[in-house]
Amino acid sequence: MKRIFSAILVCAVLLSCCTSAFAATESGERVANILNVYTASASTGTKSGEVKITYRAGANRLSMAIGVASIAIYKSDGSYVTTIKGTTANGLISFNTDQKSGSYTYKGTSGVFYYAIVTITATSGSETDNKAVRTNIAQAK
Amino acid sequence: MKKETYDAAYFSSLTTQQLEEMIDLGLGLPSQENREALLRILEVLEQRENDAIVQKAWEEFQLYYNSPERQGKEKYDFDEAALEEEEAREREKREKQEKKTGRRVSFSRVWAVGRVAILTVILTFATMVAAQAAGVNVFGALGEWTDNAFRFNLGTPPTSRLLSEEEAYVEAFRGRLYEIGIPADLAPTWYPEGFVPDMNRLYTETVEDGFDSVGCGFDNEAEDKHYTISIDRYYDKELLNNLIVEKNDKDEVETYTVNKRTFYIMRNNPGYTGTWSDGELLIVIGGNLSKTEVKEIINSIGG
Repeated sequence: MKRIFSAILVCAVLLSCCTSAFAATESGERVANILNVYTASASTGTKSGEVKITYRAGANRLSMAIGVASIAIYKSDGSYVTTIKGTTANGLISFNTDQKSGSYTYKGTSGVFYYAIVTITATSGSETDNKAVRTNIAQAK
Repeated sequence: MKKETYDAAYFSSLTTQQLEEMIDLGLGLPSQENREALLRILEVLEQRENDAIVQKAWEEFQLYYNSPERQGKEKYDFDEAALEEEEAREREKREKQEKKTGRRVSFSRVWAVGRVAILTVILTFATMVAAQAAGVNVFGALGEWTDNAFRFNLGTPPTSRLLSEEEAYVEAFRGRLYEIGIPADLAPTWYPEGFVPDMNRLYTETVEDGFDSVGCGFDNEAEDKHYTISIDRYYDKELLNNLIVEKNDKDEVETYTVNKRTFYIMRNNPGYTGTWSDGELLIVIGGNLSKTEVKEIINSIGG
């Protein structure tokens, strides 16, 4: 009796695992996207040591918050430098809109090559969409 | 008080102060005699007051017209030349004032004319009301209206007209494109039934040395559906090179060519996105749209 019961239990567990896997592979439906277009780039700034990070975020609906969640600065050799967090105070985040674009100037070392990983974000209702974009490499003025 | 003959001569011999004291003390006489005495006292005081006025006037006269400077001159020797000069000045001032204010119009004349005008207006209005009640569309002849708009009929057709909501959106969108140098005919002129352009989300964005963008949001409140349109011009080619248009994983991309522009249509939950670029300009249409609706919007973009 015990062996039969154990066998049934094992089968049940295996069956539930297979069902889950099946659901994971066959479901092509994603949660709704909020962002529909986004981009970022790096360019030489206007003053000594400056690198300008330009970004664009577009949503397909009105968003509570949209813009840049963070800008992580790296040297061209991949070494991490710093991260700037996006806020309304520094102009990287806006409320109640479906478009957010702009630029952020990082003050680094003149002549050094940098790139950035820009995380674009948009929140609508209880959903948040985050996408990371790696920029091109640009030399600080 | 010693009883004496209290006649005018007696009271006239007393000083004004004595007379006033007698009045204050009530004279101390039997009542009938009090009254008579009081009358006499008041007569004396009044006479003295009049005499003082006359005296003062005489003194002033002497001062102005009988002063040492006027010795040998006529008492009534007025400076006629000065008087004439002053009168001429007054006349000139009056004439200038009349020229400024125009013809002097009296209030009674204004009221006479105004009364006629008011009566005319009342009669005219009463006639119009009577005619309207009798079935003549008097007021209709002066104005015309539709369900949601009224205008005055001045005899000539209007040279402007009220735009529909759709026309207003198109004109506004085109205006924004024109302002930043993007071809205005790229503005889509059609949107799906049930959707309304949110004019508060009609925007223009400019990032120096980066790109310019014009766009608008559309909402279907009844079905909780939304979509957006954006038209960009890129100066920073890295931005366009790095640009991502979101799509569902593994879903196919369909091409759709209209007016020599090849759009790419792809599924991006909850609907479809359509996009086109010529390497400088970029159009993105995306949100709660069916594939057919995306194509209809693309069809409405001018050639």
